[in-house]
Amino acid sequence: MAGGLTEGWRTAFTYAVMIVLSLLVLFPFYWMVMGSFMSDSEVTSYPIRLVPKRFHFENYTLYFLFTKLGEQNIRETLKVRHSGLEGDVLTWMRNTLYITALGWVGVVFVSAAAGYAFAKIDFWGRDVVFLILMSGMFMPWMVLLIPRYLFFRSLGWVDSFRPLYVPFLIGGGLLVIFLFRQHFRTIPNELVEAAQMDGASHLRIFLQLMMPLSKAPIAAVSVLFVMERWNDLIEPLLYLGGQSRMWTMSLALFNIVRQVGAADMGATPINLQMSGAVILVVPVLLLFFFAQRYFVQGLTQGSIK
Amino acid sequence: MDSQAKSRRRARWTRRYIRSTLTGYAFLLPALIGFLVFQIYPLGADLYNSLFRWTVVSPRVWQGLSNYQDMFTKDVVFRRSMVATLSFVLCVPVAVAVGLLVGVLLNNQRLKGLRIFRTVVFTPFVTAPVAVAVIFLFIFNPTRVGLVNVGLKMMGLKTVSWFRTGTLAMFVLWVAYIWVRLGFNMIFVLAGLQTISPEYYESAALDGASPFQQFRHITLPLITPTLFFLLVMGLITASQEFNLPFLMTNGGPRDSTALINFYIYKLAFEYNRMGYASAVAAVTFVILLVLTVVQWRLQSRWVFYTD
Repeated sequence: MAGGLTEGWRTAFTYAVMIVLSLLVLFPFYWMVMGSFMSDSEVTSYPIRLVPKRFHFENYTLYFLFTKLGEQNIRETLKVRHSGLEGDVLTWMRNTLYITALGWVGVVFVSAAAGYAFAKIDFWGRDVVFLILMSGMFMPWMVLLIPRYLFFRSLGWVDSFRPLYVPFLIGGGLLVIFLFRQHFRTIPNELVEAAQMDGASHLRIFLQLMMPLSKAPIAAVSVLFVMERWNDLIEPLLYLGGQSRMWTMSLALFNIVRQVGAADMGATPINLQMSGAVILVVPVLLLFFFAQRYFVQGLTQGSIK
Repeated sequence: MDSQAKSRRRARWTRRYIRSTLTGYAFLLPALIGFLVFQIYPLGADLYNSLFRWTVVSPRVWQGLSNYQDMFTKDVVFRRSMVATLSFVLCVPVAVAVGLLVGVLLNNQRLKGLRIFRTVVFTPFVTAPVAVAVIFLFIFNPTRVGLVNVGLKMMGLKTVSWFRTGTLAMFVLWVAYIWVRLGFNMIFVLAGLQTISPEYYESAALDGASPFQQFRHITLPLITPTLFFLLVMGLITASQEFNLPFLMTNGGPRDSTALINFYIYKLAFEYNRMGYASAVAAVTFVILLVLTVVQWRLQSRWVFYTD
């Protein structure tokens, strides 16, 4: 019913919208990358420079302590504002991965165990407890943040990594519990019953049957968790703020461009801010591109209906 | 009937049931302990602390409900913060509408680049807020150095001092926030649109309906569950936004961008007013709860479920 001409126009228009929108979205990234390779005067030059004259790789090597290319590292460059800056990008990456790994164990195993119980074990109060647990998801995080901080402070855990992973090690994650429950519910009960008739306890069923079948949700949860920990600023800020050796990636970049309020922009050179931002962003982007095929599917699967 | 129910209940408490109950709670134990320690206890502690005036280094001073009283009568910043949060949250319907528009325009499975496009538009969502702040502060730098200002100068226009007025500062926050969240909205809209059977559109077209009519009478009603989800999620998330004001405006010119979580943070960790901060947090919690319940109730008015 639609003429070939109309269809062609429609498709062209659609492609046009896609391209324009993509450009708008990528525009800030373009500047982040290009600016990171420029010299300071180039970034802020008038008229706008789209491409640097030459690529200043030292903007990046600056962040790595061990590089000796005759260039100073970030500690020297920012000496005036950040005396006592310890550690470098590799240290900060390591810190971030450390807290992520420890938290990950809890997020996966504790949550999966709870999800399995809700899905496959018949026990008294199951549905009520589940509802109560889920309601916890909707609590505004600021309400929890202050008492948690005070609690950890009373334990002497400020300036340590523990507050960043212990809640996950012990409590898992509420949303994750929900996801695992959903996942286990798709596994037919017959499997569980058959295993039980063979004399297997729930523990064995869980470890040897359920978990190997859960590669997909574990992968999805892992990717999300890594991203969340990597990007999070406020928890590391509260608990690691004073110790530059212990910073996580986001916290480190924050401190390096610290007090980035409009008035203070000149503090750290913009091109260095950009290269720091690229270092911060690229690992997560790579992870995202690699996992996005599963990621988008998992997000939209159960939510609309 | 009653004796049947009783025997059913008695029959439930078999050895097997008791054992599976114990097993169930054993599996649940770490999660439950974590929940109690890190969710329930903090909630109670927050309410408790809100009744005192407390800087951590000195003992608590009983205030009763006067924290709450002062909040609503004397605290100007609180009021400004509420206004700021409200003006910020208004970007959520805008972001959802844009997501809807784009989703509708691009709803064509046979489009080749759609997958790549979805990935591209979703990328800002996984970008660390610190990086987002760095980029957008450069783009909107109020001096002659900022990207937009340089562009304006190149076009012969005057530069804009982006953070001098509340409106401009809030605009910058809007742009940054929508940039981050657009992909998220769009993906859900696209997923929701794909659940609408093309037969509806075909028969409507056969009846002579224009694209606008099709949108208004088919797409719009059937996409309302998705819209509802995005709006509620968006509201809950946006009202708790902290990173943007903290990183970009520090509360903005005279608290005009002092979103409520930012204000609470300052109260607790810069002014050390733990008790009062807890009270403000508790009030925020209640407001959020009420708004969510209201939205939930209003569903029947405008959300159209097909099942």
